[in-house]
This record gives sequence, structure tokens and C-alpha cells, in this order.
Amino acid sequence: MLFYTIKRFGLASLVALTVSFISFGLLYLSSDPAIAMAGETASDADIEAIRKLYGFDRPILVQYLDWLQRALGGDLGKSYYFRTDVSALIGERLPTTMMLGVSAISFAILFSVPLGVAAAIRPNSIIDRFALFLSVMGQALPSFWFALMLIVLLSVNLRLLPTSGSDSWLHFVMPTVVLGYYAAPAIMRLTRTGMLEVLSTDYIRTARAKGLRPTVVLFKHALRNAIIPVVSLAAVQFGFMLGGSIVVETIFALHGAGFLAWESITRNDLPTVQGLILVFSLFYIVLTFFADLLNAWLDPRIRIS
Amino acid sequence: MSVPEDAKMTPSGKWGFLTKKVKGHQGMIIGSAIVISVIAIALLAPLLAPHDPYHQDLMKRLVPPVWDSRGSWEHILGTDHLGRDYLSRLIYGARISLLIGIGAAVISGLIGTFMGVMAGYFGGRVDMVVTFLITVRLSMPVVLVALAVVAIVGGSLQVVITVLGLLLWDRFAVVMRSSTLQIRSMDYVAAAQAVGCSISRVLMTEVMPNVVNNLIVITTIEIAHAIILEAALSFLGLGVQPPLPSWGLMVSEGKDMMLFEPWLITIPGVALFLLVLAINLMGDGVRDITAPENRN
Repeated sequence: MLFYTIKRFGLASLVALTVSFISFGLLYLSSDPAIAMAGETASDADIEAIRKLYGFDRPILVQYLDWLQRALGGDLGKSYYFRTDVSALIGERLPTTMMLGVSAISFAILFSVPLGVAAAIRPNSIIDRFALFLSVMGQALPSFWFALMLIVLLSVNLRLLPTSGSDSWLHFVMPTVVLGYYAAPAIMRLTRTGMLEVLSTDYIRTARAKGLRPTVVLFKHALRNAIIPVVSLAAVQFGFMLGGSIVVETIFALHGAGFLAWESITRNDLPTVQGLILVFSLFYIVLTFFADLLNAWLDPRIRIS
Repeated sequence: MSVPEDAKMTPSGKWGFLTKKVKGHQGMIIGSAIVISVIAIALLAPLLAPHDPYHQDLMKRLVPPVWDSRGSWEHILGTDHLGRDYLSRLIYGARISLLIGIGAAVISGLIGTFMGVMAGYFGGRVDMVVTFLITVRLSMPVVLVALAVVAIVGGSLQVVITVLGLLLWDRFAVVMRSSTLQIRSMDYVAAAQAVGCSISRVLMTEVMPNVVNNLIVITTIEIAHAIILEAALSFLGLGVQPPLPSWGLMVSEGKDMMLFEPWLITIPGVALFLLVLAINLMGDGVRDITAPENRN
């Protein structure tokens, strides 16, 4: 297990390094940060001065290593627009996004795991068909449009929920649903498949033959085994959600990291965009790292191969 | 010994057999019908559109659709905030969605299939590198990276297609890798190698035909994925630029007036939903028909 952990950790670090290099190159090669900083009215001499001052005239690799060295120490540079430290800026906005992400993934799990189990107990029943119908519909629903329709229905027509801001938990209801429904179909399908598979195994038949109560067989024997892959899928989906929060936070004006991403992208604030890409990727990498470890711990076969 | 009745092939052979299966699959029929209609609408847009989708008429702004008491048959789906005919914009918008979906899926399909087949066939170091690249790609937040690049380079149809194409190859690579891995251990591949076929010949005549079903399924998923992403990018103002009638852009332009004129966002949204739903249904259909064992 220790060897497996070290190997995974090495791989995760290498992935993080590659991601940071690619995103750095992508942003700095496709634009000229000096022009972005100087503004539209600047003269050529001004731009040249800024280029020298910030070291944009050095080779890209040198700039990257310089940035990386400071990033490892927690310094992501200064925002062009907000004129503050990028790390402080992201740290300030991240809690809102985390809260949204946690409530969205909880919503997705609480909605889709029971539905997946119910569908697997009676394949091809009405519940199974309903679950399949919901998942097909859910996958085709564009989240930004779903969000607007919810606003029209719940806030404007029924006047139940506030449309924007992050003052109370009520403000998080619609964003949670919009961010969470997207992950629900995949989790539901995986729960269903896993349960179907486990329910047809010999040990379930034995447990039933022993005369155990059906609920005990279902939850203690079957679900515990079927849920293992669902846990790692949920971790991956949680990572994707933070990336997807940009659309949701923009629509509901939740001032989290996703909203910050949109603000800094539209203002050409490269250090902030770069920092956010790094933070979102790191988060995903850490999540999958722990999901892998959890899987290996639960299932010894993974460790060995 | 008599052959069981249902084991006999129908007179029309393989295609007759397939047609029968397709006919029994409701989702496949509904999905294909919608997709084919949308393709037809996109191709015949100049003939079908009642008005010029770019023509502004400021005297006729925000005319509601015909089912509203204020609506008229001249503009069946009404007009937008610049007085442009909504139905015509919707019809031309189908072109953009399909172009971006198919364009992005072709680019990502080429990249992902190449990587996946190489990894699955050669294994070892090649596989290690490809798996690593897939992990790197999955770790990057797609929407954020796409938005950032489009913002820097500037939004246009070509840029959006290229960016999405370069970002969405992961699923192709994952699925093609595992399918090739499976086919690679088959006896007929070993036989082809033993006969002395070149690697490219083994790949083209033995491997590809057997992974093409999976390839079609993934292609439909990614077309749908790219269409939704383009709409989201355009909605945020960092995708296809005005005055192009992208459905995502139409929702975005109608957003400010959605409280009073909700049809402005309902109509393009429903179009988007139906197209993506139909493509997914078609993909599910292809999967069920070619590989019923993967249905769950």
C-alpha cells in the first residue's frame, strides 16, 4: 500500500506539473501580457517598458520556471485588474464555490443513489424506466438554460427563491440543483449497474437463503459492494463541478471562484486566470488521488497490478 | 437436425437483420428522425427561412410568437430585440450547432482515436504516455480553459471548433484504447501478424472495423457535448460572436428580457435540448443495436 501510495503521488505531481506548464504556455503564448497590462491607449514605448519591468522579454521557459518557483511558495503573482495578490483573491472566493460544490454533489448523490438502487431492484419496472428517462433528459439539458428556466419559474412566477447573490442558504438552492443535476445521471447509472451485478452474485443468494431480511441483504450486503465505484465517480464529478461552477455562478451572481474566473477572463487578467486553472486542476488531481487510494484500500486487487 | 427458426438469416442478409433491430428500437427511431430533420433544415435553411436572419427592423422589435394574442403569421416565432425574425434565426442557428458539433467531434475523434489505438495496440511505453496525457487532459477544467483561450484569441466559428476539438479527445482515447486492447488479443490479429501483414494493414483491416461501432457511439456523445459547450460559451459571450444566430447566443440576448418575454429564451433552449436529446438517443440506439451486452 505504501509503494502504491508513493507511485500514485509521484504520478499526481507529474500531472500537476504538466498541467501548469500547458496552461502557462497556452495563456502566455496566445497573448501579449504587456499589451493587456498597458491598456489600449499606451504607446509602443510604454509597452516596451512594461515588458522589461515584468520580465516578459525573457524566454518563455525562464518565465515559467520563475512563475513555478513562486507558485510553489504560494505566490501566484498580482492580479492586473484587482491589483491584489492572486492567491489571496482566490482564497477569498473559494469557500463560496466549495460550499456550492459540496451541496451540489450531495444533492446529486442523495437523488441518484436511491433512484439507482430502486431501479436495480426491479429492472424494467416503471421506476427503472422513469430513472432511465430522467437520466436521458438530464444529459440533454443545457445547464445555463435550465438555470434561466428555474429563475423564471421559481423566482419570477412563484416568487419562492431569490435570483442572485449569496446571502442566505436560500440563495444556494437553485445553483445547487443546476450544478448537481448534471452529475446525477452518471451516478444513477453506475449505482444501478453495480447493484444489478452484485444482486446476481452467489453471496447474495446465500444471504437470502439464510433468511436474512431483504433490507439487510440489500443495504448491508449489496449496496456496500456496489457503492465502491460510485465513490470514485462522485469524486471525479465533484472535481468537474468546480470547473462547471463558472456558468452557474455567473448566472446566479454567486461571488465564488467561478465568477472570479469569468470576471478575470473578460478583463484579460492573465495571472488570475492562470492561478484559477492551476487551483481547479490541483483540486481535481488531489480528489482523484484520494479516490484512487480509497479504491486500492477497499479493493486489494488494484494495489497489486 | 433442423435449424431453429430464429437462427436463420432473413433473405436480405445482414442489412435486413439490422433494419429489423432498428425498427424495434423506439429511441433510435425518434432520435434519428429529429437529427435527420435538423440536418435537412440546416442544409435547406435559405429555402425554409421566411426572412433574412440578419435583417433588422427596429419598428418591429420583440413581436411575440403567433400563439400570443399580439403575434402575427408574418413572424411565426416573433422577432428579437433588433427586430430580426426569430424563426429564421433559429433555422440558421441549426447550421452553427451542427457545424460546431461535427467539426469539433471530427478533430477530437482523429486525435483521440489515433492516441487510443496506438496505446491499445502497442502497449508498454506508448500506453504509459497516452494514459498520462489523458490524465493531464482530464485534470484541466474544460470550460475555463476554453473560455480563456477564446477570450484571448477572439471568438469565431473556426476558433471555437478548434478549441473544442483540441479539448474533447479524452473519451475517444479512453474508449478506443480499451477496445483496441480487447481486439489485440484476438486470434485473428495474431493470424494477420503471423502471415506478415504490416502494422498499418493490421490496424486498418483487423482492428479498425471491430472498434468502429464504439467509435460511432463516442462520436455522437461528443457531438452532443460540443454543441452544449458551444452554446454555453456563446451564452457567456465568449463563443460564437454576434450577429451569428447561435442558439446559445440567442438565449443570452433574450436573457435580459426573459421576465417579460420568456419565449425569447424558451424557443432556442428547447431547440438546443431537442437536438442534443436526439443525438444522445441515436447514440444509445447504435450502442444497444451493435452491442446489447453493454446496455447497462
